Order: sequence, then structure tokens, then C-alpha cells
Amino acid sequence: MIITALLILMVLLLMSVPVAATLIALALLLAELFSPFPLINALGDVLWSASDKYLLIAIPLFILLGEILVRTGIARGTYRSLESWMSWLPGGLLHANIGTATLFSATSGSSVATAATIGTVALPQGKEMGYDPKLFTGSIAAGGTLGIMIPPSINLIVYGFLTETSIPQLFAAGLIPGLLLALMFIVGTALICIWKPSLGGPSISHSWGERFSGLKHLVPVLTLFGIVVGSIYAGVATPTEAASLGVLGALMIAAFMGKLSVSVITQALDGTMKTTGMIMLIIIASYFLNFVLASSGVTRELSAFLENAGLGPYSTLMLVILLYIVLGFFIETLSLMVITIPIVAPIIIALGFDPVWLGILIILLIEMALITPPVGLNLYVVQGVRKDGPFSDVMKGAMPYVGIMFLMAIVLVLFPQVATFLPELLR
Amino acid sequence: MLQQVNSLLDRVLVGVNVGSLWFARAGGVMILLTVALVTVEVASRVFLGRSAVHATELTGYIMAISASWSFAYTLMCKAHIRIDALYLTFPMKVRGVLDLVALLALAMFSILVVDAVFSVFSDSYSRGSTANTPLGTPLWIPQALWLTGLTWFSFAVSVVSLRAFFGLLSGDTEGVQKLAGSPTLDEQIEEENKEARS
Repeated sequence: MIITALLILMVLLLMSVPVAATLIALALLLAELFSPFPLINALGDVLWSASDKYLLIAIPLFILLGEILVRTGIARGTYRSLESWMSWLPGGLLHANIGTATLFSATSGSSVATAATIGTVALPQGKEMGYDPKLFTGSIAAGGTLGIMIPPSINLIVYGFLTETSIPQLFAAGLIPGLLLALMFIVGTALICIWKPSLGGPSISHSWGERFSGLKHLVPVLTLFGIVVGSIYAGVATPTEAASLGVLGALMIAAFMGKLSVSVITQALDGTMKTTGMIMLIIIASYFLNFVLASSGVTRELSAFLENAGLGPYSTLMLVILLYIVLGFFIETLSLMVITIPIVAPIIIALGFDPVWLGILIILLIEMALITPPVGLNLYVVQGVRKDGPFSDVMKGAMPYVGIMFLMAIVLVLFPQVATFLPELLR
Repeated sequence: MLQQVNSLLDRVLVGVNVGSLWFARAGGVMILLTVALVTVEVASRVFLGRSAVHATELTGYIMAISASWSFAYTLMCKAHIRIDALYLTFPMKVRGVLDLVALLALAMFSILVVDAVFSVFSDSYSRGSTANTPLGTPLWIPQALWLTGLTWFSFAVSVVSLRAFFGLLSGDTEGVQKLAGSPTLDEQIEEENKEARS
């Protein structure tokens, strides 16, 4: 029965039926098959309680924050400044790509926006200086994925919402793995470029004067990061409040830079609402599926099934990781999250794994999905900014970073403390 | 005959487009309002030690309302998520049929939701339910605004579905693609780049 339901789900999805409609259809089907009560009667109430959520408004606020940042040209300054500090390493500009992505992701919360912004700034420079296009584009696509791991992260909010996990805890948990992953990217890139210098490009060194005078370009991004993340951990603000303060800060920075106008605000709002509609429709649908799975006992049956199959906690976890890697090839990332989390998270948590830690692991796997072909959104974004050259360049260039992410996944499983250390400190 | 139906629907669609944009913008203004409300709230808590505007409750309503007001706009931007890995490999004619199926699924979904939400609203109204909070907001007020957005969304989906149906009947696959096709990667990238560069 469950198998039939999952088959129907796959068929509907592959027929490109909108994900939100598919989720509701699946929920109603499961309710019909497994629940003695007509769960459909609760649809309206469940949707209202899913929509009337103070927590969720952090999502449009973070989107708006990113929209404003993208339109102010802050990225250009950030890139130049980081370039002067990092491009002496073997691999030169590649490190500036990753560094800018790390800093930017710390404020914008969106991977695609990060990759698009950095691509626009970095690609012309890389081409001019004769960098090998493969690793150059790959590092931008991969760096862009850091956006969903380092707080603030919209994807972590979605995970927290669907699993009722504390958002400040999740944000704290994402910080170290996110920075560690960025560091692994940098070390990995340097090693590749030492091994085969032709894959990178010239290292450049800058005078200390240049470096210090460039630091002022980092002020806007670091200020926003400070406002958003600082206010949460100083205990002054909830994530929603931090997001509001962040938007206010971004508006003030834009005004200070002379970039604020009615048309900029209108464009930013239009973009925000488009993305909000897209995210919210599937979130409320997924919330209803969540409700049906929990009330009809399907989750319990699935857990029991896995237990009876003689799978231990770690084999089940491996199975889940494999599932994400395979599905990540084909399914767009936000859909992947809302489809799988209601089913996977309760099972894995019931096996005794920490929900906060699981969130970070899932986000890492989602990051991997962003840069694995054929459906790897970041790859297309970078290729789209680049305009010429074969798409396979970007694909090949991202491969080493997929490998590094896989390594990171192993680290997370073997040393869960990497993710749980900070949140436990705060608990 | 078909021609007439199509041109009539096209005129209705112009209105749907404009209406959806303004619903979304009103929602966007509410999001900005949230920023103001929440900032006042945080400042008041930090400096005066008390809550000033009950931002938690109000922003919850704003979330529900502004999200429902954005759905139709997202639809007109063709931005509701569909998995198009297989879709993009099909010829235009098959895609057109899949587009119609997708729209009909979304129409069914939205009508089901409006129906369920209407009974939530009418229950709140007839029972005079109020929120269990210091403000004691009568729940039917935010729920009515929420319902308005969802109703507009289901109206928009229905009009687009009809137009796609008659478009397919009259063999206008290109028009259907433009109206309802899952945006190709090129279009999406173009969109992202436009945003990144502006």
C-alpha cells in the first residue's frame, strides 16, 4: 500500500504536476487508506495553523534582505577586498570566489542569489586573467551552496518548521559545519592547484596597504551578519525579529550608498512575493502531509518496517543518505526537502539521532544536490551568468567540491559534535 | 467561435495579471509593515522593558494573509514549483497537455482549499471565536483576508486553466507554453541574472 502511494507520488511528480498539489493529493490518499477518521475535515484548520505563524514570516524577510543586498552592488566591493587578502594562495581568485560566497551566504540565506551575484562579479575577472574555466565556475557554484548552511538560512527555517526544532539551535549548529566546509573547500582548492597548477590561474599578491584599505568594503556584510546572528545569540531577538532588524539594516545601508529608490523597493518586493508564494504554497501543503502521516500512524509503520527488516540505526541512516544523493540528481532542492522531511525525519529521530544534527546533515545533502547534474540549480545559474563555453565545464569543475561535501558528510556522521557542540553550549 | 472565447479569456487574463500583481504588492507592503512593527517591539522591549504592539500575534496574521495574496502572482510568473526533469524532454504537444494537467491539479487543489478554509472562516464568524491572546482579535477578520487571497488564487488558476484548455483545442501550443509552460532553464537563468545585475 505504502509502495503504491509512493509510486503514485513519483508518477505525479514526473508528470510535472505542481509539487504542492501532489503533496495534498498524496496526503488525502494516505488519509483515505490508513486513517479511520476523515482527516480531510481538518484541512482548513491545519492550513490556518500552518499559515498563521510568527516564525514563518522570517522567510519573506530573509528573502527581502537578500533582494535588497543583490540590488546594492555590495558584492563587488566584498569580492575585491577578499581577493586582496586571499589570492596569494595557490589557486588565486578561486579562493576569493569561495570566501565571498561564505561571507555573502552569511547574510542572504539563498544559494541561488549568492551564486548569481558572485558569478556576475567574478567571471569577467577570471576570464581576463586566463583562469581555467572548469574549476573557476565550479568553485562559484559550490561556494554558492554555503548559503543554506551558514546562518541565517531559509532552508534551516523550513526544516525547523516541519520538524518543530528550535531555529536558534539549528542556526548555531550550522555555523561550524558551514565554516569548516568553506575551509575544506579552500584547502582542497589549494591542494588541487599545487598538484596541477594549470587547473587554477596566477596567484596575485597585494600590498598590506591595499589589503587594509579594502577592509571597509567588508563592513556592510559583516554589519548585517552581526545584526542578524548577533541579536539572536545576545538573547535580544527571535529569528523573526533578527530578520526584521536585518531588513532595516539593509535598507539603511542601501540608503547610505545612495542606491535606495522607490523602483528598487518595488522590484525587491515583487521578487520577494514571487519567491514567498512559491515557498509557502508547498510548505503549507507539506505541513498537511506531515499532519496526515503523524495522525494516521504511517510513520510508525514505516519505522517498524525498517526495524523488522533488521536495519540498525546506522544502516538506516546510510540508506537515507543514499536516498538523498540519488533523489538529489533529479529533484529540485526545496521540493526534495518538503517531500522527504515529513517521512524521513521522524524515522531517523525515533532511532535516537539528534534532530538538530539531522537538520545539518540533511542541509549538507541538499547542498550536494544543488551542484550535482542533471538537476543542479547552481550549476545552471553559473552557466547562465557565463553565457559561453560548454556546460560540461561547470559540471566537471564542481566535481571536486561534491567529493569534499561527501567527506564532510562522513565527518558529520563520525563526529556529530561538529554540529552539536555550539547548540549544546547555548542550551 | 474558439477564437472569440480565446480573445474574451485573454481580456479577462489581463485583469487577472494586474489584480495578482497588486495583491502581491499589497502583501509586500504588509511585509515592510512587519519590519516596522517588529522593530518598534524590539526597541520597546529592550529600552522600556515591555511589549508595545503585540507584534507576535499581528505578524502571524500578516504571514498568513501576505502569503495567500502572493499565490496568484507566483502563478502568473509560472513560479509554482514543478519537477520538470522529464517534462523538458517531451515535444511541445505533450508538454501542452501536461501543462493543462498541472493547471487542473492546481485548480482542484485551490478549490478544495478554499472550500475547507471557508468553513474555518464561517465557524469563526458564527461562533465569534477570538484569539487566545492579550489582543483577543476576532479570528474571522484575519481569516477573511486570508480567504480573499486564496479565493483570488483559485479564480486565477481557473481562468488560466480555461485559457490553456481552449488554447490547446485551437492548436495554439505556443501560446499555451507561454502562458503555462514550466519555464525553461534559460528563462529562469535570464530572470536570476536580471535580478543579480540590476
